[in-house]
Amino acid sequence: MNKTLRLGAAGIAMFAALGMSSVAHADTASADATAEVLDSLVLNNVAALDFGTMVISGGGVVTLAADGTAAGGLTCTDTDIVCSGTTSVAGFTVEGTNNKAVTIVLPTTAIELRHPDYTAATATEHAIVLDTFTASDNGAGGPEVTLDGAGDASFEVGGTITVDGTEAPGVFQGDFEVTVEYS
Amino acid sequence: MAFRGKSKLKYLGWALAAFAGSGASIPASAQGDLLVAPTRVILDGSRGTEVILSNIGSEEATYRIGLELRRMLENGRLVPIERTEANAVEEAALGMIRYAPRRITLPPGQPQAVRLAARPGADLPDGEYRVHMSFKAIPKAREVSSQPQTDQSVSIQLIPIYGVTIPIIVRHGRVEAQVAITQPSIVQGEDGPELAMSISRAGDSSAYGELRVTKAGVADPIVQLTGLAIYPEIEARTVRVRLTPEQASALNGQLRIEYREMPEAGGGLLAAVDTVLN
Repeated sequence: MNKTLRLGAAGIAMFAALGMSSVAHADTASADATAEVLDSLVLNNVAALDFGTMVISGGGVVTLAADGTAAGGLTCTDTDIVCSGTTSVAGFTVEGTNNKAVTIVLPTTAIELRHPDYTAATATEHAIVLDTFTASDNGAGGPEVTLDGAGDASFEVGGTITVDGTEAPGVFQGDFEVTVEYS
Repeated sequence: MAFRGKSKLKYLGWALAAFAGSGASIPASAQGDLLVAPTRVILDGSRGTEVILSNIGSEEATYRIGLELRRMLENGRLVPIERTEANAVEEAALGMIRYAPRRITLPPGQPQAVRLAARPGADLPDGEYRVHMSFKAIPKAREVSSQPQTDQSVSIQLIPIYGVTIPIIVRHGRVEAQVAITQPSIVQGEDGPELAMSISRAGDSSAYGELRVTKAGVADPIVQLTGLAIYPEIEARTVRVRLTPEQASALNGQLRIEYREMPEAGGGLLAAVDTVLN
């Protein structure tokens, strides 16, 4: 699969069909060089999923929506939960093939976030459930994002945490998986 | 085994590193950001190939490389399938792919090749076998944040484990697919008009290519969707493309819809239809 090298195109890996000196020219040369040009796929995490800080005196939910419907995505309306601090939805950028649609896979089951003092016996006060993950391009058929004519796209991911009011103060930790699926 | 020579690999590493290092355009990035190339692998015969993984983040990162199963739904989405739910074809696919390494730690800007090859058994039926290779950053061990909280507040620390998957396709023996475009129409979607159609597929092979809607006298395609795959597990795939107002107004009169192989695969015509929408 030999092609004329398009200089300056982002995210292209060059294979070794050409000599060292040709690549040294790659920044400026306009002459044709022959190389195997491969499509590449880049995924960057540009923003964290951040619920800020909460003071909890009763049960309720806090939602970070990825669809841009609320400022910072935050919905924190239960009277027993006071939200403060900066919040953000998780942000990702994708670079790849122009005009290609890619599937985004988010967790479909709940994630348990744990307090450093977590033990099975104290799970009520030392665990918070995070679920209902949503992506900004959450079409009827499931999350999918289409790369634009330059091969770029971005998407956001949000979620919902549910508390029962007994949570101990502290930092609750957990991780969640986000995958971009090329077809 | 026909993996590429070592000198070539080294050289490629140099080229990629130079690319990443010189890229003022690469934004501030998080630990675990990654580049994978190529984005699709087709193995036929015993010759192996390789996929490049590059750390484009700003910190050292460890990546796990794995084989996973996906099935395509009729709407084109890929859904994860647990290994325990694998059918015979998927099990065979998992069993025949060899790859290494499975875990790579890379400093920023550093690429490495993952070598892979297929070892189909002698009595394997002809067909297309597919797995999806995943590249995921493993989060670093977290700081222990057990310092006593001075106030009564709760905060949450979420670590995203993010990555990509690319299809690894093994074509064994003679496989074919026939493809046809049916029912093109303009429908109202959630965010406005969408071009909708169905692409039917028959045979043992997947189809992969570029969908273009063109009009006589208009130089550029009005709608273009590349890298459109239809895998053997589905016999028809619906395609919906959100239209800009300009695209929607241009889609009148006699139109031609073509599904072609990707240009680098020869650009051969897979299916076409001449139609008038609305």
